[in-house]
Amino acid sequence: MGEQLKVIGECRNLAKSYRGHKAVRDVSFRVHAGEIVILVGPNGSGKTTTMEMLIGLRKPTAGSAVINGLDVRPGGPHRFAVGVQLQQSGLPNRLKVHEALRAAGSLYSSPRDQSELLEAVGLTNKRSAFVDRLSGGQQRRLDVALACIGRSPLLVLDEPTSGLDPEGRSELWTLLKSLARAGHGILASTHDLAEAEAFADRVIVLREGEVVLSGRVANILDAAGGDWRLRISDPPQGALALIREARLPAVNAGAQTVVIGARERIDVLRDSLGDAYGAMDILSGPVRLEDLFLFSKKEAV
Amino acid sequence: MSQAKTSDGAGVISLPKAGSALRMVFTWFRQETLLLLREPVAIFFSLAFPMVIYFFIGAPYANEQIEPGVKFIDVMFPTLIGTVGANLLLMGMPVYFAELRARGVDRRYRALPLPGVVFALAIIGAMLLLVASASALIIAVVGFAHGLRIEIISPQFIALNLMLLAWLCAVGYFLGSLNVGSRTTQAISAALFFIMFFGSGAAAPLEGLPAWLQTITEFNPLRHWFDLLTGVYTSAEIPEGTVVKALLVIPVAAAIGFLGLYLTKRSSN
Repeated sequence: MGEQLKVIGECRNLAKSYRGHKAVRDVSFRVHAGEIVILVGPNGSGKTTTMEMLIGLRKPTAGSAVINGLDVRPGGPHRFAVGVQLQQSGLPNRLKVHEALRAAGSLYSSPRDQSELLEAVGLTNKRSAFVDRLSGGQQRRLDVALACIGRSPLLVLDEPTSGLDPEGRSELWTLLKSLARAGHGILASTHDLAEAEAFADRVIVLREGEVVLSGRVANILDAAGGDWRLRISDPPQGALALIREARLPAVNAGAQTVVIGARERIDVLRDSLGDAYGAMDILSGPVRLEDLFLFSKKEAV
Repeated sequence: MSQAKTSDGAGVISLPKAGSALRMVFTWFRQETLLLLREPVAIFFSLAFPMVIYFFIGAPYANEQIEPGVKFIDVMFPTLIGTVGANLLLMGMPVYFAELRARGVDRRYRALPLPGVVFALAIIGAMLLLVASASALIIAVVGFAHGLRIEIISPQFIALNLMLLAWLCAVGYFLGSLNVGSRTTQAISAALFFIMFFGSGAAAPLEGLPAWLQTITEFNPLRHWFDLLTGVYTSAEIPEGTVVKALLVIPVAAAIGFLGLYLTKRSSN
């Protein structure tokens, strides 16, 4: 990211505790104009809490947030600069789709055209439907449309593709990519690492409220210590000894052991394991974020 | 800002400006009105319930003389009008707020640049529109069937009705701000409304109640307000202390309304 890029959203050492439980710890990151940043992590990793602190819905225990140069505080003017799609928020059930868009649009001086927005999210034929008659995926798409209606420079979308089928996901990411190209900064969350890898300009991986990986996907993968990995299901003790002897970065995650290294060395290790233990459930392939996420657990072999 | 560029050279998006306040209020008022009209329970309690009371209790004895020049319907008419507001504001408003909370709509609205005053005006405006429509229906039916007294257009009678709506609104808002489920809110607000309604003398005279129950109704603000409104409407002598007791409700309701605002603010953190 060059120096000239405008910072649209920023979390500065955000932390949140609930009755002694630290849900988010010292999380800092920036979202620039024109980029898609994806917060990724399992359920309970602090994604939603972080996003809600960034948009001013939740008061941080420590740290601060800034959107478009405006300090974030509940009910503050930063709300004009951020379009929000929350995971746990509904609409009055007797409201129609176009009415919801009209009400949200009235808050801005030049809202997006309703019809174009409905077309972009594939809800044109649901314009007059009651929101409680929409399927989960359709409601999610309406939420995204509502987040986009004000042309806010920052979009904060909490699991925007949850409940969408693969086609719907693809369409939604196409829309988000086009919004990013137009200059919007987008912060989205997902628990799907493959999705983050495919669509993010940068990813921030959270685990138990902490950032464990962050950066451009390519950079993170490059820094993994190799481009290839082995995934071995339930390896016997002898196999683990062989893996240790190979002196490659390896980690245990539940019943799986993951080893990362240069392709040639990984191939050699795979063959050795095959020769010594016969038919084992071994998967080899390019390193993915999912593998690195397991490494962030730091449970060494 | 104009110097800033995105990674592919596109200009950044400028900060959106707020829409016109009038347009916001009108749009949200229209939305809240539509939502209210699509809510069968709200329609029943605001439009149908007072008419049920009228047809079953008011109409049969409407023309009986209570005092010289005062018919039974003259005594009942102000309570029918007041019942509409009490229904909507003590029951409808809290349940609506509780449902917004239960569905997470309040969180969505807090994330939007929706000024609180716009939302408040929209909701109060929609409720008052329904109160006005239901009152118009009662005025039309009673006026057509039995005739109305000239006091209906007295500034005092109109002002007292508006004050009644104002304090009911504050109490309704407080009930809606209690951080409990929508079912619990429904039970609390229905219990409060029906106890206040039956304890006001609007449905049946209080004189027939046991003495201890009559004493309890002394603490019912709706009773004093209905006494006051009936007294003004029929130009009757208002019982001693009724005005003070009725007006005492205003500061108490204001305090309760502020408590509701505090509870709303606290729960949003």
